[in-house]
Amino acid sequence: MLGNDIVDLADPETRSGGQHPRFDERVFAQSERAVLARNSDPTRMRWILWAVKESAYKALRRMRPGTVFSPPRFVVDLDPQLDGTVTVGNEYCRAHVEIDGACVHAIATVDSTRAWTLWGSQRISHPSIRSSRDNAAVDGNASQRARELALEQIASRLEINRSELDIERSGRIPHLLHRGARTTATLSLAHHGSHVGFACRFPIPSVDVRDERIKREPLEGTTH
Amino acid sequence: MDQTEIFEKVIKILTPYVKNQDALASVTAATHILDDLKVNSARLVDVVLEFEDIFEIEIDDDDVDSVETVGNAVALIESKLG
Repeated sequence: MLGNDIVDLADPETRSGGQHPRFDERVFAQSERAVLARNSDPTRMRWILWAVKESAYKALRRMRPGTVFSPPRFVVDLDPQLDGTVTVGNEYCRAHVEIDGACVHAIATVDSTRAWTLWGSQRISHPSIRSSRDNAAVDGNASQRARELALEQIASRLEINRSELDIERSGRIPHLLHRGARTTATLSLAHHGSHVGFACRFPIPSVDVRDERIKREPLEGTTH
Repeated sequence: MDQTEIFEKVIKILTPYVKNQDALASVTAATHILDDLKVNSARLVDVVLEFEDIFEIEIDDDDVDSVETVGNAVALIESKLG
């Protein structure tokens, strides 16, 4: 299973000081608040940690739909390369963060079988917003662009025709279709501000390497 | 505090975080906070903290997880106020 999340650091919602004074206390574990306290750019790190928590929640929720998103219980531990883990009680996710300019893209995976992951993000241009109706249209446009980015890059990586792929939703969960049938891949879409992203995880059949999966599963992605 | 008063205060708290003003103009108890009003999930944390401040209550994350609609938020606050 996997989840991904995007945060646009250029979006006004993420500006420094724009949160409730108790936001950090409410969202972050003590170890994470210590990371923020010694980080040279706490605003950037705040949203990196948030994106990782969100992506881990999306991954775990797919495995167990009753999973509660209690942010401080999703404890993030990242190395300087922004690879790391999220620990949620007895659960454990791998996490990877890609930064491209103002775009924070987090991918979290949790699996019992070996799999490989494809991910990507893209900056999009919004039409100028003149009314609230425009604002709603922008949100719909971003959702559509995230779908298109995923389908284009998955088709390219799998060397199949884009028209063979589609995405359907059951509730909030997107599913990748090939020639109209659901695949075994897990797909996650995200957008925020002027950025869209996706991550897709493909199980590798007939391979049982559960003991080694954490260190050996390949991860690849592109950022545009 | 009655339900109508709570509802009006909830809408006032949500308003700065709402991206879909059309949905806000026709808001009802059934309006979905994330899907309809397009409140960002991180801003939902700020909303919950403001609920705590304004209504002088404590809301834990298990409670927050059950809140999808404006009506859910009103019912939760009403239950906390006893």
